[in-house]
Amino acid sequence: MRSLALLLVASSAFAQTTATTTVTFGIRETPTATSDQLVIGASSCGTSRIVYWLWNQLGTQPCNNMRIWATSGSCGNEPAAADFEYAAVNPLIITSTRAGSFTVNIDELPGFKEGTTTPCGGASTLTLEHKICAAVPASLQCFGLQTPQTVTASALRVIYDAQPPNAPIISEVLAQDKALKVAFSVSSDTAQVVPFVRPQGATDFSQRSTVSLGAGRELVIDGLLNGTTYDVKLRAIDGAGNESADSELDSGTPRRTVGFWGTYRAAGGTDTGGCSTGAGLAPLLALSWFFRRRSR
Amino acid sequence: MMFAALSLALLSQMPGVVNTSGKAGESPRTFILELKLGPYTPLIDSAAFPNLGPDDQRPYARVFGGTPMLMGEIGLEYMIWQKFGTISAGVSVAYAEKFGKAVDAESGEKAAQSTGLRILTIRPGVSYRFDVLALKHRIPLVPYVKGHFVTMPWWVVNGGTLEYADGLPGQGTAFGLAGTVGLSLMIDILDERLARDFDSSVGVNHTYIFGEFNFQEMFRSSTVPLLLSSRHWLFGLAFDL
Repeated sequence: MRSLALLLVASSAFAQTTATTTVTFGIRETPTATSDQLVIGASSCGTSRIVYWLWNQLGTQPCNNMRIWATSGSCGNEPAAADFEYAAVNPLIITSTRAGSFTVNIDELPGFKEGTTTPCGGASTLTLEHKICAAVPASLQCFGLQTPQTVTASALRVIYDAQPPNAPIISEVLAQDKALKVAFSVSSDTAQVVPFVRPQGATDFSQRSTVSLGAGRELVIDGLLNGTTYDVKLRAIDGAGNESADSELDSGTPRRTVGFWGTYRAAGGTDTGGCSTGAGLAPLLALSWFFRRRSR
Repeated sequence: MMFAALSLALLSQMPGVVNTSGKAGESPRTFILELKLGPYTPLIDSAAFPNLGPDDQRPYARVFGGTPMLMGEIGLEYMIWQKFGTISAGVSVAYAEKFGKAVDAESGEKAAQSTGLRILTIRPGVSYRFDVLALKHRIPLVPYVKGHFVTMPWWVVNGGTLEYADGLPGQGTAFGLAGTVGLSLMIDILDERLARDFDSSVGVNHTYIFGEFNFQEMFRSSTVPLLLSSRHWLFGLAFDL
């Protein structure tokens, strides 16, 4: 029994350890991020982002400054002439703090520089990928006989996406009690869907809460009036915040429904909910009284 | 998970019953852990509904098609007495739910909205297992009987929210009694060495598969109650700890 308890504690601790595993040497959006991607849209042009370098190498020591740079090509071991380089990080800081942040100004990324054909927010710039790279000479023993080898970081991919997703397609609007269930399909880059609804004949739509997409392709618009016909449309938003055109209009009329409880009551069921009978509690009360007396 | 582990760790510190029937080197038997699964059909439709004719569908059959709910249950019992068989006391918690389509209030046709009945079952009780044959004579069958008090909180949802009808919320708690008759098969016989290792490494003395019949009778609160009484089978795995 005791062994089982220890096993359960140990397995729980193991699960917690594995859940927080981080990159050994890399650039990430946050210190705990597992994704190597940072997706930005046209609204990010002219802004900046704070990103992090992470050093979790065991045994290996940095022997010189860590160089960090942005490139629109591949990382390599050091920055190319056209790349943008950030402030270097001292090896003592690397080993003592093991993580640090720096600011990436989006407009300074080399693919967006003035004179390029792909300025940030430009009408012709739909997608562009940059990498934030890092490298440091490192060794098991920096001042020994071994020659330090350049260790490169797992790069952060900064993906600029100004391409809006396709407009959603509403396949069905189903009537529910004071609500409409909308079935739809969206393009694969859609991350969220925004529903809009208005009573038929009204001019303005009211925007409802944005729905993050999971596996399902249905959403429910509630708070409607039974018997009133409503127009419904949807708008898709991708991970970079680009909004699609609106879907075609569809319509539906909420209707009063009766669930199992209503069906039971309509059939003549006389249960009113609550506790079925106070007498049912008597055996439990008797049992608790018996054990209280024994424990005195 | 951590809470369960700590609870088990604390319970393991309680003065256990000395193992009188086990073999040398076997750890003391203190608890029985049971995991069960089975069909559960409440006897709701057995009531005499005054507004329905003899050929009309009853409420449970109309909404849920009359098919059973799937009930999952976990139970933990403390062994009180082990001299000739085992007497235990403990509690089990079960959950069952069933979903069907609500009906349009005007047309009476099925609507595009789900309605569901959800039931939690809490059963404190005592049991007697005749495990003498299995523990002393290597006949791996353990018949048992149990008696329970039953508390069943239940609630009905329509479209994801609690359903109201006639101004009354579709939720309540039913109380009752239950009796269980079951038969366990000690599966240690399949690999006795593995079974011994399971005890020395994890503390599981014996492992069983079992089937049991439950006779559950709930107290009636009104003339046509939402009757959650049942006669149902459960099957599962049990561990002597």
